[in-house]
Amino acid sequence: MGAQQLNEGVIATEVPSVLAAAHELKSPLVLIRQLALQLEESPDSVSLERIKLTAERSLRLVESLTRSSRLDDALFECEPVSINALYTDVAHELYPLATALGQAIDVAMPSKNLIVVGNQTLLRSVLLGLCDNALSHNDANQPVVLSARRSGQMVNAEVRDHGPSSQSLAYIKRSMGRRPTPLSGRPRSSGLGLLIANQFAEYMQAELTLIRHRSGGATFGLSIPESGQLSLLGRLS
Amino acid sequence: MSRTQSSAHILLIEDDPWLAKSYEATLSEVAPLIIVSSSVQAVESIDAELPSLIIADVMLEHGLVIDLLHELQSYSDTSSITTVLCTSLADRFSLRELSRYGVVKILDKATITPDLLRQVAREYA
Repeated sequence: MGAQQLNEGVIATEVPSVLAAAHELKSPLVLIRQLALQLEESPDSVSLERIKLTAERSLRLVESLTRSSRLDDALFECEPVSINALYTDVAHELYPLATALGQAIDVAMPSKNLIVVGNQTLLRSVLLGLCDNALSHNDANQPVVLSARRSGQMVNAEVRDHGPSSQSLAYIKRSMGRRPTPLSGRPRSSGLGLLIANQFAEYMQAELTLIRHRSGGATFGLSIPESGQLSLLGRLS
Repeated sequence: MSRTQSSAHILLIEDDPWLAKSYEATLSEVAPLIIVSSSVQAVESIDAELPSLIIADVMLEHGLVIDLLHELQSYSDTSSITTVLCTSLADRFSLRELSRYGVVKILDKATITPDLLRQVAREYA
């Protein structure tokens, strides 16, 4: 199969800390500042676009953090949501970022519409986060792939990236007598986005999953209950 | 493994492509520049040709750059490469402790300016 399932203990489950949030927001602020300094030296439209996209990325994280702190207020009702429509929306929103990063997002949907029970806002936030995360780690030569499939009474909404292969990682780690770093331990990130995604998943009685591929990269998935009634209508239509 | 002698180029190890591109404009004024985004790529680049200066982020995609610097200390020809760290976590590292890895300066990404980067590169490259 060439893949390694990594669920238990891979995705952190603690409450997001102020320190984690500060760490996660510092990197984009550093980048925005650096791009602004560069603009001072030599104005160019590419840097301006990158400042805008980086700010939008940070805003998405801030919005997720805000929602994370309001989960107990029961503001997010679960209802039937079309995964197909959600994927189209997510791919559309992240298209400018993917293009600026020299990457592509492929949406590989089944022909029948998949309807799940979840909260539209939280689902969108989770998928945007997973897709953004994938773009950060993906090899630009291959697209980030959004796909979904039925699994019993659940729907697995998946985001596949093609990061460096574990073999190339092992090469340098082995030479240092150390084990390859687990995916969740990508030190560049505090994992805050995944932590919030996991919170949202639990709120919707869904589960966040991770498969690490031996050929390189990872698939983050959201296993979420299918809407039985509406999916039956979808199958009949 | 035999390596080509130092060619007075700077090796920039930065996994944020936009930040790397931004530093490139400044650093390439000082010396020829090679940009890599991971420790694996850095090892390949160093094996091909020794740089006169490494400027490196600390937190990379799959590990800390300290692992790479530790590895470089294992070989006589790479142990003398001068390294400058450029990180958002400058306050968490001690130059005194990292000097054994060839680190001569720690720059804070939150306060660095093109002038400062240029000045440091000129001093150590």
